Amino acid sequence: MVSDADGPVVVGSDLEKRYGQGAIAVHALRGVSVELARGSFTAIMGPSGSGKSTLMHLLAGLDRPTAGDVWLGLTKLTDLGDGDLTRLRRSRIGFVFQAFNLLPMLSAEENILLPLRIAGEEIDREWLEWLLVAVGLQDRRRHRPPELSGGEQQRVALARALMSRPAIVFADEPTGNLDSQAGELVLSMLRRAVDELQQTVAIVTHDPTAAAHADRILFLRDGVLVRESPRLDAAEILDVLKALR
Amino acid sequence: MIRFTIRSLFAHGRRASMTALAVVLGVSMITGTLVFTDTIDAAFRDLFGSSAHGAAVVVSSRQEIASQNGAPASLPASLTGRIRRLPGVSAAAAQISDTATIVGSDGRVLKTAGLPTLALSDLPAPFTGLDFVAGTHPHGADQVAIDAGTAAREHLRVGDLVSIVTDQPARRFRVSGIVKLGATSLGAATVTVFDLGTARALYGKQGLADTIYVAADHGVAPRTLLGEIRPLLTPQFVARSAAASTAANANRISAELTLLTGGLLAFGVVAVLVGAFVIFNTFSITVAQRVREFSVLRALGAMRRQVLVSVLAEATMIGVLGSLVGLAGGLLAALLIHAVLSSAGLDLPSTGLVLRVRTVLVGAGVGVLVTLVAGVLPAARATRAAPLETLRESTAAHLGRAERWIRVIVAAALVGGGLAVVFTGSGTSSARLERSAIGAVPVILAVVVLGPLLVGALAGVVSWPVERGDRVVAQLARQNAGRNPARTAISASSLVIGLTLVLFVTIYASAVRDSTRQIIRRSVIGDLTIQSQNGQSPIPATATQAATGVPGLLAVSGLKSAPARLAATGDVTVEAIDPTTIAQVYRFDWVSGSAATLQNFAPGQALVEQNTARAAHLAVGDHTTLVTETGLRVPLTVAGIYSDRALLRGITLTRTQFDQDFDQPRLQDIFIKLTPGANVAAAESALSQALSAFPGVVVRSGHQLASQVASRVNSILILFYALLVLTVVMALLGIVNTLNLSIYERTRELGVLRAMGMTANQARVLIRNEGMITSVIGALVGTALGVFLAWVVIRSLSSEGLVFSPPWLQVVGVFAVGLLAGMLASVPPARRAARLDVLGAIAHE
Repeated sequence: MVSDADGPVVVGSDLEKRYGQGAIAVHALRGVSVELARGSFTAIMGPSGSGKSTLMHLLAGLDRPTAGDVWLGLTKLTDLGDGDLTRLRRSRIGFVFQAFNLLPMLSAEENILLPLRIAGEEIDREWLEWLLVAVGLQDRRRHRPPELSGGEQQRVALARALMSRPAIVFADEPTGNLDSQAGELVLSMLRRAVDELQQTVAIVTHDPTAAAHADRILFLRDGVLVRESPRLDAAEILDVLKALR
Repeated sequence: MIRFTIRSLFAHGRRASMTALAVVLGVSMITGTLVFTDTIDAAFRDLFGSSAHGAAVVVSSRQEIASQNGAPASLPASLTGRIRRLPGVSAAAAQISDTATIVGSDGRVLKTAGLPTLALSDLPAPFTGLDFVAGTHPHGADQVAIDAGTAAREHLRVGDLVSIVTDQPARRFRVSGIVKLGATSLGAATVTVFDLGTARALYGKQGLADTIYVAADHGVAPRTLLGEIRPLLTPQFVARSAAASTAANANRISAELTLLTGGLLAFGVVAVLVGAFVIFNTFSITVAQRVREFSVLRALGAMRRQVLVSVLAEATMIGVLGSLVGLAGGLLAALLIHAVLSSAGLDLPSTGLVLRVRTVLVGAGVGVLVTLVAGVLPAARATRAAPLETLRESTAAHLGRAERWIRVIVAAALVGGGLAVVFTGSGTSSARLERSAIGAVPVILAVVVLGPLLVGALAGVVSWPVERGDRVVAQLARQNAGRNPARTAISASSLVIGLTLVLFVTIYASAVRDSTRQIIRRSVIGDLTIQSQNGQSPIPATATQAATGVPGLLAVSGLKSAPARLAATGDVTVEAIDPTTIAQVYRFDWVSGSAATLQNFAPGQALVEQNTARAAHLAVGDHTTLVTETGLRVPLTVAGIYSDRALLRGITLTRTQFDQDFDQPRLQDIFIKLTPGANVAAAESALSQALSAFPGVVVRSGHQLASQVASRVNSILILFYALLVLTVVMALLGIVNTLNLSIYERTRELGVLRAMGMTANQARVLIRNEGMITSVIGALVGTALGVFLAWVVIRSLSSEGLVFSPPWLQVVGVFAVGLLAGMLASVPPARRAARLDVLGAIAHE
């Protein structure tokens, strides 16, 4: 949030990820470089095993690359220890998971506030109210996850990710566990965050309809970035994917 | 389905091994207890079996009553010669057996923790009960052989001098040899061996024999010899085959050890209970984890029965495997118990570990059965729901309204029933104590039943202090603990049981000590008391002569003691007093009687302690019959009834009567009243001086006497504590296991928390707080319950002079130790939680 106001939020350069050694080594990523610009909505796509989830994990500081560097603003993630990385995650990165991953014994509101409270930070009540209205859960805030539908749970997760005003929100298959209507609602909310809040968002998905909400689409295959394209509609994305296969 | 079961076992090796660990712990506790008691029993049998080696028939006095301090009547030695002349007898030898204490290098008698201090006379060939492993047989008045264990402990070798107290003042003997009895280690017991003539001289048993060993000619059956020998014997003596004699002796010792074995058995029951809790809890967690798996199976078309059978099969496999390892663990536990006891000063005789079929059946049976029940109950509940209903992610069990009510009602019924048992009816104090113990069980169970409700209520209160630290972590911990109250409750309940028992025993013992002290302060009006170091072994009568020489003594009144049986009720302790001097040193607390009763007290009369009187339904003027150790029947008339729970606890006779019917030359205590105005300290040191030839005989002031008698409770306490500490340790391992499993169960949740920015340290604190909440609840409930039970029991015994005044410092100490231990238990799981790999955890199913 310093002088890099116009620079990219996240930079990954020459990222390699290898599991195992020697002959049995598996190369999940073989030298991928990406830049995610402020206020951009990026979709990372590719067939299973293409390395798209690995890329997201590296960019989000959840995993370390075998080679290459990741920058979040002016911070080089690849230099940080576990403690610093953890603190960075909680203040500057938001996550939305495919499986919602809410804590079952906490209410919707408590789940949203959890990252801030773990960090021991002040809670901005107005911001919370705004978010609750934005995700349409102002009347369900006292409910616990088991009492919410899948779509509602994912919207809680979205609000949770946005609550700390992170530099970037990563979403891993955010619609994977939802029906099309609920998925559409979640995606439109992500879109609104980008448009109205200039929130930087990156999603990993294999669903062309989901990727169609993004400004920019990265296609991976066998751990290599094979194509990059500006906004496409679902049919066009499907064609690209078919061509990649 | 069976293949699925096996695959599932292997696929979830970690989960299965944790469940199995719980089974191992439970079974180890149970088998450990059984193996330990069996081993001690076998050791005593071996000890007594070996003493009859080479003999076909053993002649001794009848010993009808199990007691260590009894002095069996001696046989006329002339009998030996008459037996030797019988046809078919190849050899017969007399043996003297008595007690002798060895004086250690520090000038004090060796402590044997109440185990026998045997003095035996040597036996000629062919009797080989004493196995000389070094040196030679003792010859002459100055030689002794001692047992190998004592020799090793005291660094004594052949040729060394050792001081021994027999019936005579302490004297030095030269060690001629080292002996062993059988293959057994004697523990803290000691054996000294003299030649026959020396033994007779030392114990004043000229012309007598305590045992006659008889060997048969080749081909002559013991039966034949018995037929020949029996007509030669008067009724107080008995001839037995060597095997029967061994069994009789061993049984007698076993009976003496009933306090110990009873305690161990009680511990075994507690072990089963705690073990069952640990197994049950662990298995219910693992099954709960698999509800989704079951749902998938059900959705794929598996019948409910098939799923249950699969769980049953898995539980059986885990139960059997865990039990087998647990049996091995039990052998280790037995060694551990022995080590703990001997470090507490109770070094029991031991031999190779004894693993009986019964032990295997009970241990493995409990292990497998509890595992089955623990596995099938939650599985049955899980599979009752429609297949897909459980596929949704769900919060675990919150108690339904109906279940709450059922629990409250059941608990109320249990408490009511338990208290009814405690408070109804009267009877002797031991009967009431027994009823209290029985009544306590449903009360403890009631707390277990109420556990889940208590957890909900207590979790909030308990976590209040920790929430002042890292609030969110503390709140998460509280919510996790309250998430499945039933599980937290069971997890805590093993700690509850341990602490409850420890505190109950502590408070009860303290009440007994206090009241004993009070009784002694009230009743002993003499200034000084001479007794043995341990207060229980009798002292040589020659000590009286030494004492009476001291100037300034107004009255010296000796007390003798022997075991006997009251025809109507059972074993009692008989005390003999000197009616002419007793009034100056001891004040009777008359229930029915007066000073005149004592003045007219004569042979043929008995004074009866009120508990004995109550148990035997005796009133003043009633006639009753006392049976001595050798089977002699003594008719008596009740002359008075008094109350004394500390010193004269059974039936009191005149010395004249006692000396006529009992073979007890030694004294129990000598009470001394000084002339008015005499200096107590000076008299005490003069008496100590006069008694210096009797190490192990001490002079005690009134205060010291009270402490000594009161501390008898302590030796039992040590044993209980040792065992209960083991229980608590097991309970803690249970908590570790539960926490580990609950971390495993929440792997993904923890991963998400970490991904959202929870530091490793916060994760560690989270789990530690959860463990702390569990152990605080366990410690609080356990402490409350222990104090409550003690109050109930002590109240029911208030007529005995017991007063409920808990040693609060100790209560707080026990609470703190339980708490601390519980917190320590959460350290390893917390470390595991902190080290969790974030990515792997998120991907965890």
